[in-house]
Amino acid sequence: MEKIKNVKKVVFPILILIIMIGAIIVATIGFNFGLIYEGHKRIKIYIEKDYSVEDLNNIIKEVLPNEKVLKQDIETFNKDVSFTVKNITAEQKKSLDSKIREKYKIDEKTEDVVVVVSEPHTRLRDIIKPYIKPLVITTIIIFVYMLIRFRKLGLLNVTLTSLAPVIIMQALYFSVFAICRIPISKLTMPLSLLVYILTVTVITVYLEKMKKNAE
Amino acid sequence: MKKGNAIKIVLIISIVILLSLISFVGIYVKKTNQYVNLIPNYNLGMELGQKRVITLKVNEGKKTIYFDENGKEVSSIPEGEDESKYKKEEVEINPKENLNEENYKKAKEIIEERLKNIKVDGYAIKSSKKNGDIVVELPNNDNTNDVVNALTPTGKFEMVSETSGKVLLSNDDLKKATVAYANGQTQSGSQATNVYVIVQLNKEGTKKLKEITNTYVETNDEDNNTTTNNTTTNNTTSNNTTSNNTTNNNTTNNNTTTNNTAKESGKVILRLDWPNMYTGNIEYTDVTTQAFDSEIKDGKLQLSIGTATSNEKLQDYYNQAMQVTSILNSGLNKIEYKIDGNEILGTEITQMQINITISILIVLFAVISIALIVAYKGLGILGTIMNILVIACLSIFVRLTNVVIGINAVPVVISIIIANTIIMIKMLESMKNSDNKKTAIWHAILESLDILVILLAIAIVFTFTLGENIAAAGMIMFWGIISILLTILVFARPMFLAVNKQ
Repeated sequence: MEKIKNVKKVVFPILILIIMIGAIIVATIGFNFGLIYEGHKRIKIYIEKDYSVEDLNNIIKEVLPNEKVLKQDIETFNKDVSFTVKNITAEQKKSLDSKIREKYKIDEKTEDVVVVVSEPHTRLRDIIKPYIKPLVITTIIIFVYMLIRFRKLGLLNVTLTSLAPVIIMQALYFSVFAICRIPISKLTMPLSLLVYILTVTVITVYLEKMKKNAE
Repeated sequence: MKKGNAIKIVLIISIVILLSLISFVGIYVKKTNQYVNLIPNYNLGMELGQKRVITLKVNEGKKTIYFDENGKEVSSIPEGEDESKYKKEEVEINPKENLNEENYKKAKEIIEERLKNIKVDGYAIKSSKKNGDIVVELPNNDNTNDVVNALTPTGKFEMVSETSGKVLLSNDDLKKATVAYANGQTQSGSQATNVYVIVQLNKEGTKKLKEITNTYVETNDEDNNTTTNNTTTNNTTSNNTTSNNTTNNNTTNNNTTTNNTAKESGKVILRLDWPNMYTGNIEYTDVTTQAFDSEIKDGKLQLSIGTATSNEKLQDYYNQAMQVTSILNSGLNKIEYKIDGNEILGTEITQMQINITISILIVLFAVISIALIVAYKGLGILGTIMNILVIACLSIFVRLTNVVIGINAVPVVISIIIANTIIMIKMLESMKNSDNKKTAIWHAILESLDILVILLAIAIVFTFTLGENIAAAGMIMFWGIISILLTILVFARPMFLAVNKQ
């Protein structure tokens, strides 16, 4: 029991510190967004011939050596392809266009072999917004259930045990992203959901154990 | 007794192997010279499969406005008319003073509101503060084109005098638009369903409409013939239906005396975004041109989309009505957009990310299995087999019920495995510490219900949330709970008891 209290005395301040540092970083420099969510350019390549994606990838790496490139298929009859990059200048686009035409022997009359489209930045609130309502409703339902099911442990005890860890774990999760500059990607919210589900599961098991010990 | 238990164990393990094979391999039958899997394939959602990406750009073009001899604006020069009588003016579609950050933000909010009103399965939206570009990502399915149709219209709503061009009602007078149905019959007597859009005006608009219906009245000529005053729109003039049970129809026989001494003669034109009867595309058009034969006090305008004699047609008209109501209810967009790109794109998730995710899942499963086997030896092996069974059952349920697999499936599956493992451990611990194994194992299962109730709450709330990704996660969670219950009640409990007796 003493050991647990000592561990809590050490762990809680560290958690609070991490969350505070995370909050400061978010307030000042914000999160680090991955390529898909930050403002980027999409290079759409339309080639009416057989081509190899590997070859196109190599050409793009030649023209944009320092850029991270993400490939996506465009579902057209010719199975065209698009590449997402942070930025491409007009000269780089021209260079890419001429290299592709040279490689696949496409004449100058054929238009729109390489088309570049700008895509805006996705705000964090737009990424998180769909999850807020269901998570809040679920948390309220679970909290009410815990209050009824484990009322013998004391209302304040159950309230703190069921709500505090959920909030702390989510704050900790996003603080780690902010501090370690982990890019916000498509996996960020699913992992947050996993943290939430595991937290409520652990809280349930813990409260059951407390109830059993009390009995 | 021991022989009976042995048979039980063998039977259960055989069923587990069979279900696992069905889930991971499938049931193949020969159909017209090829083998076809009876178990449907996984239905991948927007994030993992294909999605429609629509790029909306601010329309920087110009449009031509026509003015007649009286200086009244007309939408186009009527056919056969002398063009020289009309004055033409080229104006920008989007005046420069409208192109600012505030209107760009408002435009994005309006489009998002439309997506929510249409109850689209899932979407992602982002916009640029600099040039107002908006990119919308939608699931690619049969309804996507209808959704795309509803993105660019401005949502302008106007009732104008046909003679003077004076604006009588506008978007400021709108309260809400809803879809309504009424039973009817075609001329040949077959059953039909009329689909309407009911436009409800606010308090101010209701007062104005009452005045309009008392001003722009239907006039009777010497032979007592009335001018056309029904509310059928351009879309339904060819249908010639009579509608029963319709409410608030402008042509109902209200017993109000019509005022034949009109203050202003002529008709009113109702203009809004409406489906084109040939293409189905939403266009800003003159929907009705009419005078009124009775006063409208309740501020409701009933506009007929069409009359359906089949379920397919009913669905089409319903979709069109939903587009119109979602456009009207989201407000007036001060900026007119054009569709700059409309493509079906594959997933952004790379093969490497998929491989890493699968590797993590396998490692996690391996760690759980090793821990179970080390702690409970033979029963631990059975516990691992039960975990495999849960995944197999979940896979079968998800494929048979055509649940969309999105990116949120991964955390849900991990949670299901962990929940099942906790329940297995509770059952095995209870058996270890008790003489009456049967009762102990039941107590352990009943104690575990708390975890299942929590997961069920998550499943239900998420299933009824708008958004493919989240709703799909809820449905997978639900089937995961069913799989856990099936596994522990039908397989795990009898097997653990049988092995323990052996």
